[in-house]
Formats: sequence, structure tokens, C-alpha cells
Amino acid sequence: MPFLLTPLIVVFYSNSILGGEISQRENSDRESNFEKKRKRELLKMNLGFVVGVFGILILSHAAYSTIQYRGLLKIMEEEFSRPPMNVVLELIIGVALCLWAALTLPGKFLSIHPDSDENRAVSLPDNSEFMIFNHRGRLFPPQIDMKF
Amino acid sequence: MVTKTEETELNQFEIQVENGGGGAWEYLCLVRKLKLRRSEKVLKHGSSILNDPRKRSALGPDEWTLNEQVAIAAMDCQCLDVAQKCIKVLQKKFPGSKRVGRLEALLLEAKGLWGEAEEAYSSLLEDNPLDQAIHKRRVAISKALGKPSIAIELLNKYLQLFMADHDAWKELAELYLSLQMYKQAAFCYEELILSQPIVPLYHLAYADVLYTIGGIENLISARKYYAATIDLTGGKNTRALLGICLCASAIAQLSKGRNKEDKDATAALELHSLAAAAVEKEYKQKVPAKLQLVSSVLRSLKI
Repeated sequence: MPFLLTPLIVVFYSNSILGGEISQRENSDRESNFEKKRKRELLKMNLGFVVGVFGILILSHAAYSTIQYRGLLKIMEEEFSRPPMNVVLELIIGVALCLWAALTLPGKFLSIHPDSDENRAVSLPDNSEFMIFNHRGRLFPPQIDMKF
Repeated sequence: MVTKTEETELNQFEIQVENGGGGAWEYLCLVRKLKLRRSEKVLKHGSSILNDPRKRSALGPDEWTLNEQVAIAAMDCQCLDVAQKCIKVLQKKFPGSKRVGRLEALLLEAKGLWGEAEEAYSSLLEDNPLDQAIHKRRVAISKALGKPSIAIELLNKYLQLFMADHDAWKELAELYLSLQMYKQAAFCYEELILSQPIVPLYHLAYADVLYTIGGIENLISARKYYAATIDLTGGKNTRALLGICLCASAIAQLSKGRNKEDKDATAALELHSLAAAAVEKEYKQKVPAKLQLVSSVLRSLKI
């Protein structure tokens, strides 16, 4: 049972770190969508990590009970066909949790189609290393005053 | 390259920032990452961040990158005193730095003192003869002085050393196109396609150059490259679709005397009609007012 407390400790610790990060954001008083998305991603990754740890613990517990069951069968000199039903149920739950964590933890999957919106090149970079200042916009400078 | 999602994100940020919402710093970071040339907006919002001492200290070590970005944008908008101030701030923080030395020479260029800028660059080159940015600036100086042939010579020498520089190949192609040396421009685009075959815009530019040179083999190749562009963009590039229609009609005109039993001819007809249909569908979706015009043009191009 004490090993079941470790995921809870992990959750509380990481939430406090996240709270510290939030209090340091003083750039803009209005949170932009950009920052909200990042926080949601971080929370989901956190949850995925905790669920993954949980799933691994459940799987190891099922493995330990199977070994114990085999030991018991050896004493009673019976054949070992399959582990008892509750261990099988525990196995299925553990696999489901680990699967969900494995899909959530890496974050957003990237697209592989060359014509999807994320991969399709709409315009090339403007070659700013060969930029010349000799253009017609030279005659219309905007009015900027610098106070520093 | 700027992808479609990045473009929509950029436009959203631009609208948000122009209408007084927050997010100026994210906009500037995005412009810096995508290497775009939005000098007026960068100057306006960057200088507003730098003028406010609270926002400036909130940036931390990114303040100096912002200074550099605002300095270059100011030079592009010809606000030379703003640029001078930013460079002075950077000089105080990083004395004797090569990067700041480059910015000073860039300021000389912006002021129009080409001779002194050239001297500054040569002295910087003596210390590190393999600095890519300085070689490129020398090409830019010849381009600005209106001597594209010298610019081409310098750029060719640069590319012999640094063959993998895509921006330089692109610039060389554009210089050749400005002098109407189409075969050499086609060579540059071939190099670009070889190094980055997934980018559809290089295929498109190559097809354009081939179509301009003319002649039946070039037209057939141009049609192939327009088709490759359509394949890579999933049919979302209107210019490639129109290119196929034009190529097909030009090939049909040129090969009027020859025999039409080519197995190529049936595929060509089908491709042409499919491309025309796709163009009309897109115009119906996006600009229905111009659909009549486009349909009449496409009808006149029919073989």
C-alpha cells in the first residue's frame, strides 16, 4: 500500500511547481490563447505520467500475484493453466492504463501528410540576409520616438 | 518555409496585436522564427516594448535579441536614429562583439555609405574569413548598387564554398531571372529541388522557368513539374492547376503538325480537363464573382 501513495505525492508536487510557474507570468495581464494551450498540454502530460506510473504498478502487482499463485499450485501439485480471474482483470486494467498513458505522455502527434495544413509550405522565407535598404519605402519613414 | 498553420497563426497574431490586444512579444518571436520581413510592424511593436522599462525588464536575456531585431527593422524603415540607439545599447552590453560589428556595418549600408560599408566588411572578413553572413552582405551591396553581374560573380564564389545554402541558391536564381538568363536560373532551381524535393514551391518555380524558355520538350517537362506540385500540395495550389491548362494548350499548338497518336496525348487531355474543373471549383468556392471570367479563359484554352 505505501507504493500507492507515491503517485499522489507526485501529483501534488508537480501541481505546486505548475502553480509556481503560473505566478511568474507577469508579461501580459490578459492570458493569451498561446499560454492557455501550453498549460493545458502540461496538465495533460502530468496526468498521463501519473496514470502511467499507476498502470505499471498494477501490472507489477499482477505479476507478483501470479508468481505467488504458481508457488501455491506447486505446493498443491496441480497444473498451471492460467492465473485466477481477478489477476486477469487486474492485467486488463493495467494494460488499458499504460496504453492511455503511452498515447497521452508524448504530447501532440505530428502529421505526416505532405499536403496537410501543418506541413504544406505556403511561402518561402523572404531571404532577409540579402535584404537591401535601397527601396522606395525609404522615403516614407514612420514616426517612432524612442525614450530609452 | 512558412506552413499553412503558421500562416494562419501569424495572421491571427497580427490582427490581435494591431487592434491593441496583448501578445506583441509572441508576434515578434514568430516573425523572428519564420524569418519574415515585416519591418514596420516589428518596429512599432518592438519599440513600444523597449520604451516601457517594466516590459523590457520582464524579457530578461531576450532583450538583446529584441534590440537586434528592432535595429534591423528600423534600418529597413529608414528610421536611422532608432537603429543607432539600439546599436549603441548593444555595444555597451557586448563590447567588441562580431555580431554588433556586423550591425554597425549594416547601418552604414542603410545610410548609403557603400564604400565604408565595404571596408567594414573586409576588415570583419580578415578576422574570420568563413563568415557566411558577411559574404552575403557583400553580394547585397553589389545588388543595391545596381550591378547584378558583380553580385552574381560574388554569389557564385560563395556557393563554391557553401554549396548547401538554400537561400543563396534562391537568391542566385532570382538574380539570373532579373537578367533574363533563364537556363542558368533553371539550373539553380534544379539544385534546390535536389536538396529539398518535398517543398512544392521549388517545383512550381522550376516549371514556370521551363514554360518561359519554351520549346516542346521544356513544355512537357513543365507540365510534369506542375503535376508534381499539385501532388505535393494536394491540389490546393491554383497556380499549378492553371499552369497545367496553359501548358496543355501550348503543347497542342506546337504539335499541330505532328501525329497525335502519342499515348501521352490522351493522358494530357484528361489532365487538362481535370485541372480546369478543379480551377473552376476553387473559384466558385472562394471568388464566385470572377467565375465567369475564369470559365471563358479556360474555354479559350481548350484543345
